[in-house]
Amino acid sequence: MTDRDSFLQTLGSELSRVGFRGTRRQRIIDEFSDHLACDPSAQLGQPRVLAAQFADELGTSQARTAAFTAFGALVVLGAVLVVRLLSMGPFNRIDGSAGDTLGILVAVMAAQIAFVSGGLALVRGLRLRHRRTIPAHEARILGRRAGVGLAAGALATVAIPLRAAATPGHTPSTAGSVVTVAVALAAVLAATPAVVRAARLRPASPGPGEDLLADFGPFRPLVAALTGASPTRFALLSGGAIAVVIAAAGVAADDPYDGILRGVMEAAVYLGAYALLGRYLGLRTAALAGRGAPPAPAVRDE
Amino acid sequence: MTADELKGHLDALILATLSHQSLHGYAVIEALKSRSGGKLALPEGTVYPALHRLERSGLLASEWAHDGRRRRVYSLTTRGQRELGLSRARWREFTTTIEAVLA
Repeated sequence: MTDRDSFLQTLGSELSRVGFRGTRRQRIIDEFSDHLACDPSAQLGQPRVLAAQFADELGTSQARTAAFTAFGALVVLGAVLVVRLLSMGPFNRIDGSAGDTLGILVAVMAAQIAFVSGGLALVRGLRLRHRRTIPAHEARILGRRAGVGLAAGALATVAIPLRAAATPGHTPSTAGSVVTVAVALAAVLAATPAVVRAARLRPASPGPGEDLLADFGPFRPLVAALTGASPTRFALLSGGAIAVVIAAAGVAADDPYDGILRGVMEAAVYLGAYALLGRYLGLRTAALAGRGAPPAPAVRDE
Repeated sequence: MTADELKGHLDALILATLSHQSLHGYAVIEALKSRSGGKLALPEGTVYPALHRLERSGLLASEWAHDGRRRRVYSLTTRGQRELGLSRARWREFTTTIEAVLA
């Protein structure tokens, strides 16, 4: 085997190792093959380093694309679900049975996780839009937020019409539900390849980790001052505020029991989701810090 | 000029090189060397990831060409031309400012 063949074979293996497959991988190999045909003594560098550079540079743009595409799909999904919900009328009164409560929980939790996760993917993607390469774990966070948003969106798409159909005395049109689910799932499916492509690449670029507070952009110092720069304290405060607002709305609607129950459930769902997904979605940095560079220093206003 | 010194300017250099004509990867690197009088000591392999990234960003377009060999030829898009104009303006402003201080 010639040096050229050996280089190209190693480059192919390294490209596979960092997640390149199919036409993109072959195209890179073909370009390097052409380069070596033009200049057999060219110093192209180590295949491992080159593959890592491809993963870092393309991983950045693919992670951003995944975030923006997922958010776009969730906007479509949200629009059709809202139209469907408005056309169905109220169906989510809690009757107290365990199955009923669980059904509401799944539908509400999935919808909220979808839009919070998709929104956070968009916010971080926009904040990092001018960066040529972003730290590897930032790319992972973007991909995770996009993926969780889409998965939860798909779950909500199915759960909400099912929950509506199961409500006693509520008879939503089957055709309407089928169209809603079809359009929403089509949007999710259209965005899935971008998220999968981003998830396949394994960039390794180092850099500091950032948490939920970084997503507040110019308002970060204010939020950090209010929460002691603690994402968990922010979650507790905002969860409490959500509970109070929903309970107050119930009281104002002359249904305090239902309002308080909803408020407590919303806060529990919100905090449960934060506990479950906080690290995975980069809301807290503890899990990320162990993988590379240390987390960004907390911002404190003295 | 070392690779570290070039960091941050590579995109503009590639865009400028492709503003005259469409080129394949090897020709881009050769053009960079010849237009700089051989002073741009660029690790050759590192230009390809940048070419792919610029294409994904919509600043470059590429297609296969067959001139005896199958090779990927890159060209500047309208967005790329606009970005090159901005890069040139930023560079002039930067050098003018530094010149004013150093002079």
